[in-house]
Formats: sequence, C-alpha cells, structure tokens
Amino acid sequence: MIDRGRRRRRAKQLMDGLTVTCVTLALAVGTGQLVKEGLQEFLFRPPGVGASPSEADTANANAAPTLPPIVEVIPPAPPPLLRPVERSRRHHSDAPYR
Amino acid sequence: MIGNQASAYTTTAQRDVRDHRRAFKTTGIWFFRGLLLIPFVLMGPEIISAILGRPGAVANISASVADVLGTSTFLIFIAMLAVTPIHTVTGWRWHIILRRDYGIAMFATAATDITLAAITTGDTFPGTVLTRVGGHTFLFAGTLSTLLLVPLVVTANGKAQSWLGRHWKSVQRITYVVWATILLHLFLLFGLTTIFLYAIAVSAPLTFLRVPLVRRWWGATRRAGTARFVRTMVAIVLLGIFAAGFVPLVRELAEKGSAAFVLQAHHD
Repeated sequence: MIDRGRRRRRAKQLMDGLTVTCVTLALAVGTGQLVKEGLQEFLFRPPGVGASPSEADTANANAAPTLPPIVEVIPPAPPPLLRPVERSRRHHSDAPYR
Repeated sequence: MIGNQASAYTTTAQRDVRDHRRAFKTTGIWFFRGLLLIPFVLMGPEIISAILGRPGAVANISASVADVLGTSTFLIFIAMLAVTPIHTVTGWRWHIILRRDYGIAMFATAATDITLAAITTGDTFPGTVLTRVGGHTFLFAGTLSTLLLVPLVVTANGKAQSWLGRHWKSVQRITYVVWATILLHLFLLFGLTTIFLYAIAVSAPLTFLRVPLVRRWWGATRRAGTARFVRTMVAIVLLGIFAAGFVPLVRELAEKGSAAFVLQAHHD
C-alpha cells in the first residue's frame, strides 16, 4: 500500500517534470526570439501575418461604406465642342432609362 | 452472480432493445471518431503535392495550414471540452470515451500544424525554424499550447490513470491552462474580433457548466427530476450561445478547408 502511494507520487513528480520541461522549452524559444528579433518585432504582428482574415471579416470589409474614388470627386471635363451628331433613333427608343 | 441470474430472466425483446441501443452507441462513437479525419483529409492534397515536389505546393501549405489545421485543432478541443457538460446536462455516458479520443486527435492536429508551419512558413516569417514557431507573441502562445498537450496525451490512457492514481486528475487539469493559452493565442491573432469572439462564445457555456455549484445543482435536479423548466430554459440559452460561436467556426473551416482541398489556398 505504501509502495503504491510512493510509486504514484514518483509518477506525479515525473509528469510535473515533463510539464516543466515543455513550458521551459516554449519559454526558451520565446525568450531566444525576443532577444534576437527585439521587442517590437516580437510584440507586433504585421497585418495578414499568421492567419488570413476570416470570412466574416472579409464580408464586413466589403459591406463597409467606401469613399468615392478621386476620379468621381473631380468634375468631368467638359465635352469638346464638336458638330452635333444626329441621334440614332434605333438605340435610344429602346433605352430603358430616359 | 446476481447479475447472471438477472440476465437469465431477461426476455428476448429486452435483449433486442439492449442490442439495438449498443449498436446505436457504437455507430455514434465511430461517427464522431470519423469526424477527426476531416482536417487531415482537407490538408491531404496539399501535403501530397508538396511531397511530390509540385511547384507552389509549399506556398499553398503555408497559406492554409493555420486556417485549416488551426481552426480544426480549436474545434476538436471545444468538442473534447463539451463531453463533460453534455454528461452533466443529459446524464449520458456513452460519449465519454470520446473525450480521450478527441484529446489525442487534438494533439495530432496541433503537432501537424506546428510541424508544417515550421517547415513551410519561411516566406511569412523569415529566419530559422525557431522564428516560425516562436518569433511572435501569438506563435509563442500557440507553441506553448501544443507543448502543454504533451503531458495530457502521455497520460490519456488507462495505464497512466492507474499509475498516477489520484494525481491523474491534477495532471489533466493542465487542460484549463491550455484553454487559457489558446484563447490568448487567438486574441493575439485576431484581437477583439470574429474568431476570438466565437472562441469566447463557445467557451462561456462550457465554463458555466463546469462551475462546481452549477454542476452539482444540475446533477442533483436531473436525478431527482425537479426544476425541469429552469433546466430546459438555461440549456436552450447555453446552446444558443454555444451555437453562435461554433457554427461560424465550422463554416470558416468548411470554406477555408474546401479551398485548401482543391489547392486554391487563400493568398491574403
């Protein structure tokens, strides 16, 4: 009975040791990279790095109102003064918008 | 002896019902085990292409490994965490074996994810293998989560359970640390948006049903057959919150995973 208790305690110590090793390994990698790359590089992630935006993000970005492009803000140049061209009746009579 | 006498008096009809129920449970367990192959099936064509040395295969893996295997790992983790609350709410026991299977599968998926990321993401994270697994805070949190799964997987069997005795549960409590580091990983990746909020939504009901007071009350009222209305209402609300996070995550995996499967990884 005592042996079993001792064996279980040793097993627990072994598993604790494994856990500490895993955490130490991760910390060593992280700290090494922090020292090597610097705090800024370690902390800040450039946009789009690591994972692509989720479908919901993409949908929200598409739905967000966008400013009109510059070409629409600038008034169109006046048409050149040319001889008036006779309208084609065939085209405009069927036009849906007047 | 008493059990043998009882079984001798069971009728054929009762035996048939019992056999049907057993067959149903076995089918259910194997169905849920089958779902664990999905991430590997989705990534299969890209991995095979890379092994065959096809042009662009490594870039495809680099683009989709986090989306497919990362999301899969989290979904498997959530499914594993859902086993105990389902038992608390319904009293079912047939699915409890899945907790171990999903835990092992989660480690397999996460290990594949980190291995592929270390090999293929040189275009995104220039530097050594260590830069690709720990060069940013979010990578560090992900790597720590994966490494913390090692003691959980090593002890995910009956032999380890008897070997550790009463200490087995304390080792398995590392799961909660992994839960926290995964949420940190997702927060560092996505901030207070989409995937992180979905992760919070799925985590909230699972955490609530783990609160000892709630768990004890639920178990006691279920066994006594009391407070049915309250339990039903709370279960509906919790299920709604869980679905609000789980469904978009599954949709995310379906969209990104199907794109990866047909070798059209997202290049963002």
